[in-house]
Amino acid sequence: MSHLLETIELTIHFGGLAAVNKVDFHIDEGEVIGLIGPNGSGKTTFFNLLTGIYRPTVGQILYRGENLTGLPAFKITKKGIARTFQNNRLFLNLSVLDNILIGMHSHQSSTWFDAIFRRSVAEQEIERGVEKSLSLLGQFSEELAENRYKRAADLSQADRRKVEICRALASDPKLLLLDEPSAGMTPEETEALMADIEKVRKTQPEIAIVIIEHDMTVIKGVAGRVSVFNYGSKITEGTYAQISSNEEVLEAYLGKEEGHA
Amino acid sequence: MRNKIIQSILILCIEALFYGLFITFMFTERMWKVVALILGLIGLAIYLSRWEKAAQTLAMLFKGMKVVSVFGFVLIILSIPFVFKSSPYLIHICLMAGLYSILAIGLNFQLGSTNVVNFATAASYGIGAYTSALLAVHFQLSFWAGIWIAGAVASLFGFLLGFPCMKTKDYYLSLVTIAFGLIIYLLLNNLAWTGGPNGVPNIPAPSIGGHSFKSPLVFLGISLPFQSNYFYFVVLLVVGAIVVAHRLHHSRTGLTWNAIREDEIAARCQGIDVTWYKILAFGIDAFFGGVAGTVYAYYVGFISPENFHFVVSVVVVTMVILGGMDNVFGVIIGAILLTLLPEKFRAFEDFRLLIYGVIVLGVLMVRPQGLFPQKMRVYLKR
Amino acid sequence: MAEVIQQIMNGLLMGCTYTLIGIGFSLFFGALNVVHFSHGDVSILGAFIILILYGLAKTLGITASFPPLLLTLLIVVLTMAITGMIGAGFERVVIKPFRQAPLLMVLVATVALGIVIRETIRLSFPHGSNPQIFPRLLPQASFMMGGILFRVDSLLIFGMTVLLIILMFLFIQKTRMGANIRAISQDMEAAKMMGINMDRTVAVTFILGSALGAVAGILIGAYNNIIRFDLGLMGGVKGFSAAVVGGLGNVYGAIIGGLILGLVETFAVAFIPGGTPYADVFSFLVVIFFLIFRPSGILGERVFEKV
Repeated sequence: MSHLLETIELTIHFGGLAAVNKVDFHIDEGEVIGLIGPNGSGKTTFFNLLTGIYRPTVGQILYRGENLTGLPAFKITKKGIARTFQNNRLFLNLSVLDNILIGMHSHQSSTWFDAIFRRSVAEQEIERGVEKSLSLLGQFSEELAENRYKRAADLSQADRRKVEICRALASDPKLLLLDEPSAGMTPEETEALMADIEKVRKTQPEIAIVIIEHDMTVIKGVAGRVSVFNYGSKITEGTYAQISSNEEVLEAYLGKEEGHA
Repeated sequence: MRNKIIQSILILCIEALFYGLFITFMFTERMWKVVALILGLIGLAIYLSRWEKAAQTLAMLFKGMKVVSVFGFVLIILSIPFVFKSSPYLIHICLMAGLYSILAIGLNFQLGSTNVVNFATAASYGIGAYTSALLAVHFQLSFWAGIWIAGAVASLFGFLLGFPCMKTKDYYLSLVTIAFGLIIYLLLNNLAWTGGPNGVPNIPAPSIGGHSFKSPLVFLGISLPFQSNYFYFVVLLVVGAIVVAHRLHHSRTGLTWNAIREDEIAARCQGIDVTWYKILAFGIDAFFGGVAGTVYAYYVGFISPENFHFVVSVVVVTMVILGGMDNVFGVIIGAILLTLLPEKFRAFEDFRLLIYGVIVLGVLMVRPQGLFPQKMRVYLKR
Repeated sequence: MAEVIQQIMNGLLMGCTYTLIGIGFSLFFGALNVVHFSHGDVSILGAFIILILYGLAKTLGITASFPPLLLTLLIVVLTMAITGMIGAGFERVVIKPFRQAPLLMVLVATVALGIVIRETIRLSFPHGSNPQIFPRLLPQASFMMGGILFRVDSLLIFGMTVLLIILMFLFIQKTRMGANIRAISQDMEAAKMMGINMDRTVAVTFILGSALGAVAGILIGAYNNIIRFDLGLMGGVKGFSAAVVGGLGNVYGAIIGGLILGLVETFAVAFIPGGTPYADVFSFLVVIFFLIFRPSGILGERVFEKV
């Protein structure tokens, strides 16, 4: 039985530096894994490798046994891997609804030809997309669903995060990668975020989630397993209790108070 | 019911008023009148943009009675050759404005929707013109077949050019489009079979049902100058272009283009094949250019490389930037403004390019989204 | 064989001008991640400035009293300085406002600026659309050696280019400001945090690049004895191509790229029958080749996109 996602000695070099160094990682359906480590330890780079934005120098990425290494990003999304970004990359001049609708791109098929010459086909597909987007959005926030035509740039940080997660979910992923979703959030907003993640797991129990975080409250709250990165390598893995008393991990975070980065 | 009649009359009056101003503008030779009209228009525009309510009420008025607004507008367009029949040159100007509108709408797919810099509009314009002209002169191919073939050939060049370049960064692409335009110009100027600097003369005029486009158009006993033939055809093409652009914009394709524009990396992560969509925009833009080029070639009757210099690309880029990025209406206004105004300011002909450059810089610094910014998509049923 | 060597020399000579312009492109890209499309026109502007200065010197009667070589040197240096300042000025006015804006804006803005420069030149000079006579700055002598024709001015141009490149190298590698330039092209954020004055460093980069470009413009004029207002467009395209072939952002790559392009053009014209008008097409094909197969250029471009 192959894992949902597995990396074997995944490595990428930038110049002479190995930003991600021989990382062996795996996750199965329904699991939630927390990914922690000091700034610059290669966590986001790891995500970039998984989503095909970077090509690894060495190593493999296996998804359901299939070798994804070297595939371009758009093909990887189609396979069922979706993500959010550390610095929140919404389509800022488009509306909230448009942002989520775009998330459905990989499951739609109408072409420019359809748009011009077979309008009803194209329009129907869009209508279905709009319906789905609104119901997805509604699950997260009634308020956002009501403000569906608001320009994404005009949203608050917390709302932007919500929309980005919605957009990622719109592509019906089997693997969801969240990059520091709680960054910049107040404790209340973080609570709401954790509730949202729980909601996702309830409605789609097979979704696997990897979540990069510096806020240990979130990690403690949602992660089953925790992987720790430092200087591009995965130094250890285990439950939160295990890694929080691990010597190496404490050393990596030396100087930082446990619980908050 | 009475309310609707009042609204309709109001709409028609407003349209008539603008038409009247337009006609005056076109006919007048006196510089001060021209300047006065323009100042008046600018003043009105500023007034409307400041006083939100007035602008909104007007917009609501026209949107509410769409059928009447469009009907009035169609009447205006159809009547242009009649109104200007004593000065065929004015019909010519309107015709050219239409052709440039087509070019601008085409460029908008790349520049406005996808934010891909393309300075090779002149190349597709020229390829279209030369393809149809050469086919007509050497192989007696009719206009009605030639126009689509020319469009396809131009589009093919667009795709061929796009393939190696779309994978690379935007700045390389802009270099390539500029170089491509220059190269096409060079080739047209030097290859024997394109006629070299003398170009292709004596392109036969198209005809439909025995009526040649070269002969005056007679309607209800009124004889309209031959330009009217081309004018009406161009109007049809512009309508077609608007329909295509509208459908594309409101489709998955248009949305995808916008996504690429907003954030290419995020777009990739939504499953978007960015390279393909950019090439697609290039190909469609080139098609529009090729079709417009064909009409131009037949209309003028002879073409030479001079007509398709880099300058033309710059002009169309200016139109899109001034008019509004990814707003078909805005882009058409940009095309009309930048075709009509230089005609009236003939004295400044020498400064035309300089002014275009300054306009682009000005717009980019002050109001980069152009005169008419893109509107949010609304999905009416929900 | 002599023919081949002759063409190689011609090629290297053409390459010198492309190199000088290409260095500017790489410098600007390295410093600001910006492709400055009007750099070619700024370079040609340099040639026109020297035209003005020379004309001024003539009217003031200086040409009679000064030793010609010294005068030439003075005027060239002055032109380089003036063009450098203008180039830096353009950066401040046209490029700086778009530092945070989408790439498209800078691209279109610099193309528009190029047009403005070109048209201003054309409109400011009487009969500006026609080629303008360039002052005879270089000795017109030539000599034969081993069956090859050597033009003194070609050798001078080559020598000058080499000298300038060495000077530039010394500046970038050995001076404090040079280190600043290298720093901001490696990592702008870190450089700022180290206390490097961004604005000043960028200004110096543009002064340097524009001054070198001015030399290119002057050399083009001096070699052909005429100068045209619209050479800046092609010059810019070629210079950019040189930078791309060598590796955008890599100044030494621009040198290699410029020489390669010069050689390709010259060989194409010399050895392909009827090839003269298509010289540009061949350079263009070389660039396309690189874009497809090795977009990072020969020496590799510096690119970092933070995701």
